[in-house]
Amino acid sequence: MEKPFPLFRLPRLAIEEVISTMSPFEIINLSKTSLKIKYVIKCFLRTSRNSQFDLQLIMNKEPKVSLRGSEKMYFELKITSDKTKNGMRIYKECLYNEKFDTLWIYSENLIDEWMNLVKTVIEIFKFEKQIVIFHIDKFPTRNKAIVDFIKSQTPSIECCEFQGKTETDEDVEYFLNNINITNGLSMTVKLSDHFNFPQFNHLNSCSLDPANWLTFNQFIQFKGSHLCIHGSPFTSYELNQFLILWMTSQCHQNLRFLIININDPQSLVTIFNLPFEIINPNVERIGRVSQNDTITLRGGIDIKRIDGVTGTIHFKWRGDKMLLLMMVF
Amino acid sequence: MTSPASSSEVKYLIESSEGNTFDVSGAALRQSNTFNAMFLNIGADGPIPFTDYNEATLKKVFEYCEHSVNEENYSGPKHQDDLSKWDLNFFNEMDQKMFIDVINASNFLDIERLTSYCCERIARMLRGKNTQEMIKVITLPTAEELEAKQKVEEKKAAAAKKVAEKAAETAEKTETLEELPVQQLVQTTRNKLTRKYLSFSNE
Repeated sequence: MEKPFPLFRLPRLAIEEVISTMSPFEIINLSKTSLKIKYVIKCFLRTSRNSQFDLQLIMNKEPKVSLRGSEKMYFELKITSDKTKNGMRIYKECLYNEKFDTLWIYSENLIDEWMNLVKTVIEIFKFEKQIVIFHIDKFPTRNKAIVDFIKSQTPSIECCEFQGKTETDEDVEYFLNNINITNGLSMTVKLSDHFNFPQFNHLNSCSLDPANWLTFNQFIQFKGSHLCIHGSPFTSYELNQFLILWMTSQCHQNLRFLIININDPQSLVTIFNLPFEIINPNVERIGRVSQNDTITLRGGIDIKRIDGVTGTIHFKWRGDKMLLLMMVF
Repeated sequence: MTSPASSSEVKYLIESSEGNTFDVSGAALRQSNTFNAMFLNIGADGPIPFTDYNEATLKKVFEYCEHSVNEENYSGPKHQDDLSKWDLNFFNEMDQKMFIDVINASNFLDIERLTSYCCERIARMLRGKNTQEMIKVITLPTAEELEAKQKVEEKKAAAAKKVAEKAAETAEKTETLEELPVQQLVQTTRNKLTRKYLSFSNE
């Protein structure tokens, strides 16, 4: 079979069978051969039950598009400026049974190539979830263009993670003002004390490190279930106020898990100026954290909400910072 | 067509596009879901016409079916590396035209195992290749080809719809015929009862 193979003379079912045995890399490459082939692939993948992936867009030194399939298999396409890496493909298995198949594509213009790739991938595949990981100080001059591009490709994203060390209030704000995040947000990015957080209330989970800009009012308006806050400016008195509001069902109704820094470990008495019960550390308890998950707890300090829900508080150290952990069950 | 006690000994006559006929065992033919749906229950008088495909193609397809009669039940596509020597020889000795004809026939006859192996073989041609390399391996479809393909598929869909409608009509007629004696019985009983009631009330 040395002559070019007339793939598209085959019956549709056979073409679909061929596509279904191909990896995402091959499907993407095949879709680039002609617009008509792209159309056929699109029709198949968008109606197929087996074509469901999660999409991860990672804006890093080597911008990446990652398709996460079933059984923790990741197909990653990395755009590189290193010509020697072009076409390089590495497969590796990591912790927790995660498998990564990575392919490098060389380009002189990383962002434009990444955008083209994202466009193709979004056009042909059907995605369950879309996740963005944004290293905000890697391409500072293109940040707004990247946000505009993501906005043009998808109406909302499920989760977003910001990373960066330089103060980039304007770009983060621009992102949060333009792209709707529906579930989770993680911000490991340095922001000024005056940063204004536009969308916070509706998120289900949120991790802020550092949260130097977070106000107490913003904090008590959080409606989600998981909250992780490091470097907040809250005083022990404010933490006490928060716990009292929670006990009286006036805030954080859906909260299941909280981590928050304690700025003054000497004033725990101020935080616990409320009714509580110290639990014997030798007693093991099992708490239900979600529909099917349970957690084993030992000791801690119990506080009760007026509807009978219990919050168990523990303390931990992270470096020289004390943390308050609260599990609700 | 004969019908001896052992089903594997049943031989069916197949007619190709050239009008030639040849024998295929029942066991081999039953790997075709199309055959199962069309002829298995109602039987066929004379040769079964698969006249869209030539004799060589059909023989090749049924050669595969005869060979895989004794294999375990099909459980999804096998990796090409797991194919037996016989399977590899079977595929290697075909030229491109024959290979395409076999896929088409296998697709029509709905022989899952053969179709899936053929498709895996095509996917293998494209595996690990970039766009430029793929362009060299496959012939890109022209607009006319795609249009023609679409038309053929529309025609096929329309034909299938017609067949389904006819089948539904036939089924309806059969139902009516079967129901008639019961209805007549009910009507007769009703008439008798009415007569009896009338005679009783007259008394």
